Amino acid sequence: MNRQTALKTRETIILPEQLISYFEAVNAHRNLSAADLFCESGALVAPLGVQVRGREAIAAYLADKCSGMTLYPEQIEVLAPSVIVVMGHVKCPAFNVNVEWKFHLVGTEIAVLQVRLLASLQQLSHLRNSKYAT
Amino acid sequence: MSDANKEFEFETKPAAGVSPEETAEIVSQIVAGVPAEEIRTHGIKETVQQFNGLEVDAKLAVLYYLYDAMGDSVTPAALGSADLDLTKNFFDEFDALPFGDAQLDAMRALVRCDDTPLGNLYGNLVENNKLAVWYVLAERMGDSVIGMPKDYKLADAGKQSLDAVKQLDFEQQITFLRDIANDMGRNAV
Repeated sequence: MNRQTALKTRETIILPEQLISYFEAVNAHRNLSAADLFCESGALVAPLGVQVRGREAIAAYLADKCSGMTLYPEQIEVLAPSVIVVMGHVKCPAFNVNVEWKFHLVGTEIAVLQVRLLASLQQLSHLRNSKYAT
Repeated sequence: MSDANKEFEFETKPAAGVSPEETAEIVSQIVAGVPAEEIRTHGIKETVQQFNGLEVDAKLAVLYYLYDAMGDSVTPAALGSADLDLTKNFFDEFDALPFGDAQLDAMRALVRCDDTPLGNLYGNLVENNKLAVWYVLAERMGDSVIGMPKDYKLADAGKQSLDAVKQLDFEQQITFLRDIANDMGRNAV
């Protein structure tokens, strides 16, 4: 009953379908499609705690801040059936930066997506103990 | 596919019985647990102001040292054709300059927001590409772009600025660099 599909990355990982759709849509700059994966009142919590609420605002934020970026999900950690953390990197113009995406799902929709820039993937272990982690 | 992933139970059912109001409440609760934006950007604003008070060569030096210090956290990306297109006009103009003082003067002019052809090309770039331009310049400094003089001594104000930025967390540092980069050159009206 789980519709798990493999998303090809450097190491193939298995992501829930709506997460695959999110990464594919952002990478193709289909910002409206990406925003449609959120529930109507959904929120994108961008780096620095910038909070963007609602599909229209999320699409506008992605169009403004993610131009020229490509997302590469690499690892997955399922904290709860509805809370999934994906780690990977984002290729910005000229450089790569490590990123953590924390998806909170309600049913098949994304309720909240928290995005954090990480100095290194090792930083994750200390994040687990901070107030950022659930 | 790794076997470890097979035990994952993803929530793939439609949210039966969860009304839009209840969903909105769930969203609000999760978002309420995130540190507020104002607190996190306050530190950046102060460091930007401190940086803006520096003289031009100290600004260049601080930028160079910061990009250099970030080398462990941020890695160069192989340039794709799309990236090249976006900053190509800028680097075509920059690379027409002879190696040495002309390059240094051009970088100073960018920092001072002088009205030069290069400053206008820079000003037409989006934020992400302005950040990229300085990343590439810092990478090339000491190689195909004139580097910091070996005996360059950062004055106290510059050291304080550098220390202040080092105190910020990684996300704040990237944002600081982006804010600084965005203000440089001649922004298209």
